[in-house]
Amino acid sequence: MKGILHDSEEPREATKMKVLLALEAEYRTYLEALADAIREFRPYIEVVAITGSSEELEAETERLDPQLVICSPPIPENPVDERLALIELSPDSARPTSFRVGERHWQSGNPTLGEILSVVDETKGLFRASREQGS
Amino acid sequence: MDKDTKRILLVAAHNAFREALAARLSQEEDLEVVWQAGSVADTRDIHLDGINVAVIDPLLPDGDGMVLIREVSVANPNALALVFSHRLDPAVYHQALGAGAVEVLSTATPVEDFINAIRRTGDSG
Repeated sequence: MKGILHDSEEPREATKMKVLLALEAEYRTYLEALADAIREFRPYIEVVAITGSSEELEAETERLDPQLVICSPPIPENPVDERLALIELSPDSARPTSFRVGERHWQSGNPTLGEILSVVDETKGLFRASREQGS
Repeated sequence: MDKDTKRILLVAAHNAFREALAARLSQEEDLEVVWQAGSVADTRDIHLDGINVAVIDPLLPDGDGMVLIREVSVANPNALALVFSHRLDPAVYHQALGAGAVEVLSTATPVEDFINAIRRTGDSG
């Protein structure tokens, strides 16, 4: 599938931006599909997908140090909430999904894949800016 | 398009999940998602000619997606249904099979197994 969802931009960072995707095991089909879709449309992003408890999410967040965490609520406050960006993705389409990118917060009912990819892009911009400031 | 390509109708309420699954299925050379719908009403607006497999998550915002199994079959007798749900208790399983579904899966299934189940469904006709 080619189209507006795709970003073929070559990476300028020596270090890839990382996304940690975590849902309950009962949504494994969707979890793996979402991870594969992000990899397809944003090939220069490292995506790690896990199922498991909030303790496992915390441990993987510590290990991977991702810039963006996408997980089903409720989320552990630390270290997950310390990321550049966070999506609390409700698996129930009738309940809103919460987004945070930097200091900006908002909610969306039944978001699209495009909305999630937009957050990936915005987080990538913040990540690049933070790296340039740090260098 | 190869004659063996399975043309898929994908029905699921969650936009991001459904679109991601459609993207994943379309990575397979022999699968093509030709229609997507997020509700019973949206599915009823679709012309189902040429569909081989209807993949239905029945928890839809405007009704029970189980009714779509029979409706799809009536509209296109060549279309076979695969039902997948995270609420897969025995009652749901028997309801889906009773309505004519060929396969019933949990959304806890690894996506590769899910893809193979779609192929099996398409090949069972």
